[in-house]
Amino acid sequence: MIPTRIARRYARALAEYTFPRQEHEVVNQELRALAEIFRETPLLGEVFANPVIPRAQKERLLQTLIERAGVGRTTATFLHLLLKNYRVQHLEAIARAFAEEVDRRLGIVNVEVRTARPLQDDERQHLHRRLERLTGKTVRLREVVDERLLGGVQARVDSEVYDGSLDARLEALRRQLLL
Amino acid sequence: MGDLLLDIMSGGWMGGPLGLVGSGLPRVVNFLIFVAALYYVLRKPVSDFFRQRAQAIARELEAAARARDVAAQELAQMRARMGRLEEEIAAIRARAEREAEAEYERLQREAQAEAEKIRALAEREIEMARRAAELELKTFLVERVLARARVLLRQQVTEEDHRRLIAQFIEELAEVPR
Repeated sequence: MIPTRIARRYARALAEYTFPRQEHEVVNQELRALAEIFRETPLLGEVFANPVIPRAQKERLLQTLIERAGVGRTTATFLHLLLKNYRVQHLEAIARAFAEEVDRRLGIVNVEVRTARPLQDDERQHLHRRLERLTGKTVRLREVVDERLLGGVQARVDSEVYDGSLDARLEALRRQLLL
Repeated sequence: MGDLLLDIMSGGWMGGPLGLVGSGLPRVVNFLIFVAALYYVLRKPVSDFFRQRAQAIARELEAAARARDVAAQELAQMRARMGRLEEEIAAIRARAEREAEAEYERLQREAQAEAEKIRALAEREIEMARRAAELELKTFLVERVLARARVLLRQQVTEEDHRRLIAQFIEELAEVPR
């Protein structure tokens, strides 16, 4: 497993290159697509991680991958750089780190919202606005309907959780009663 | 010398070892001369002997007198001690009683302190056990109540309640400091 620090370093370097050229969105999408392919085909990662397989074969495989995925020149060059540095097998982690870096630079924050029942449109819009006012950033909502919840909402903003669920209230009541 | 005198008195001395022969006055003179010579020769040693003897006797008498005095003093002391014996016995008994009383009190204090420690320890253990039991019972009851509450909530929370809870959460977000 590649350390997060290394993945972030590649992500920052790629962002430094793509942002001035306005290529970050495209590259982000292409890397996500490639990461999906790697996730669905674990053998790919194993091949690129295998030191016995000659680099020429890995080059051919990577070239085939690039052509079939139809990625642009910047992404292709980045992939060749990863191959040269023996990091292609860590593409998923690097793609994730790049997505986070792009969000960070664009001032986007990902918020996971858990509810017992699906949000209605007006609730979603209202919640979205509140969260953007709270974080001071553009909020990208990810909604999860969790039937284990009794009711209410849980919102996770990065490492912070705002818990307005009935479960949380019962837990608070439990702690209070056991004091 | 006694033998010699006997010999003289018996008259055997005239043909004796001194070789004094003859009879009558010469013999008497010879005898006196002999006695005088004997006195001259023996006077000093005999005198010294008797003087030393007298001195020794005197020393022995003095020592005996001192011993008698010492014995008399010891006897007097003994009599005096015998006289104080009852008093000493009473003092020893009183001291022994005081010491026994002090020892008894010390042991009693120590026993009380030890008993107090044991009592305090037992009370702490009882208190801890009580609290543990209380907490266990409380936890059991709370968990039962909350489990029941969850069941009731799951059954009774309506769609309207869900909407109200969501709205309430959105309102509360406005109060969260940035």
